[in-house]
Amino acid sequence: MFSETFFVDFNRVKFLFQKGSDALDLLDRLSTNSVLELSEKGIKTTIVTDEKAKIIDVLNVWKINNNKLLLESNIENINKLISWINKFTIEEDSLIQKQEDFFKISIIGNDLNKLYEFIPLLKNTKKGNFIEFTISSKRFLIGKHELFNGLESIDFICLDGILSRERLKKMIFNIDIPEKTQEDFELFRIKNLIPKSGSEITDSYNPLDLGLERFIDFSKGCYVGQEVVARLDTYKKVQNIMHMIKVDDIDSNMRGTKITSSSGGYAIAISKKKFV
Amino acid sequence: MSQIPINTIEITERAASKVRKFAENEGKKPFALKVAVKGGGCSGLTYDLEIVDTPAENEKIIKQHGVEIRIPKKSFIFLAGTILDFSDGLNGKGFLFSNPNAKKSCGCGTSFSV
Repeated sequence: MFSETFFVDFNRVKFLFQKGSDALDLLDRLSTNSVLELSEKGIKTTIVTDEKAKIIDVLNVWKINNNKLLLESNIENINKLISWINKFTIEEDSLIQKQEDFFKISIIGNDLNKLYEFIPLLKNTKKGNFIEFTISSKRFLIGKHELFNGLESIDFICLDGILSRERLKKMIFNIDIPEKTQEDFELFRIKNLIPKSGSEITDSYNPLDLGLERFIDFSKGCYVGQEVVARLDTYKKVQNIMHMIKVDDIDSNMRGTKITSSSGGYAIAISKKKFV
Repeated sequence: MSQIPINTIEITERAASKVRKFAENEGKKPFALKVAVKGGGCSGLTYDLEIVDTPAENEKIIKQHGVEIRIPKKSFIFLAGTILDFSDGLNGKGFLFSNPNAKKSCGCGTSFSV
């Protein structure tokens, strides 16, 4: 059972604005989840796949309004994602703009009373929604969302420059929520089987290999890679499985297994199902 | 499949008649059929048909069987040489595109890749 509460600085997260009257429709035609149904001030995770259903990126979509989306990507995949969206922007009114100075810090855990005292509006915000909030004259989007394994998080995205980063960290620290270092979070991530861009989230795998079914709407209709995803699911043809193992348990006879992350004696492995 | 010059697209009499009926139902007169390509769909590019009444800039205009067809120039790159037909009946598939540029089409036939 998960009990601790902490915050983490997601310093490899990168942001894009996607603007235009066709932005949402285009993204819906390129990704696995039904983002068209996203309400204003809503957040949804969706997966952009190629024709073979290999992952281009797993991204959180923050709908500012009907003509403006904030896309949460990461340092490993952002340029590929931009190229992919631009490749399919033909007649559409859709423009991508990289936002270099946005940053994201997330609080993970259940002990949030002090945070709610500080930002009361957040208490009644439902999961999958965000509010706009100003802290020390800096604009933030604060959302209740989830990590890629379903664990709930409260995400702060600052729209006013990286200089506010340390100030926000200090503010969270002052309400008795400690920071988890990158090394500690890596161990937490591995133990909780949270896939990461560049390690598990790569074009070597499809969303089903990584157990990301919750971000696939199997009834939404066409998107690039949809036929392959549907076929893999319907005919139970998913080849790989992602699992956590102890490093001590790794032996040279683990056929069809690739270690994608490791830390503190634990590892995430992606194995061929037939060998597991 | 019959071939048509690659600097145009063709609409069959059957498809044109269906388009005229749709325009009549929508109460649009005069009207044109906008044929475009959008990004996305199973194979990457999706056909998009729309009955329109106002012209837009940068469109290629073709008149055939009493229907004015307007194709945005960016879409025309993907559609040159296409024949638009209509398949009626219980097992009909609606509007059908025979597109010589399409290397691959998805199962339902509404999207393609080049």
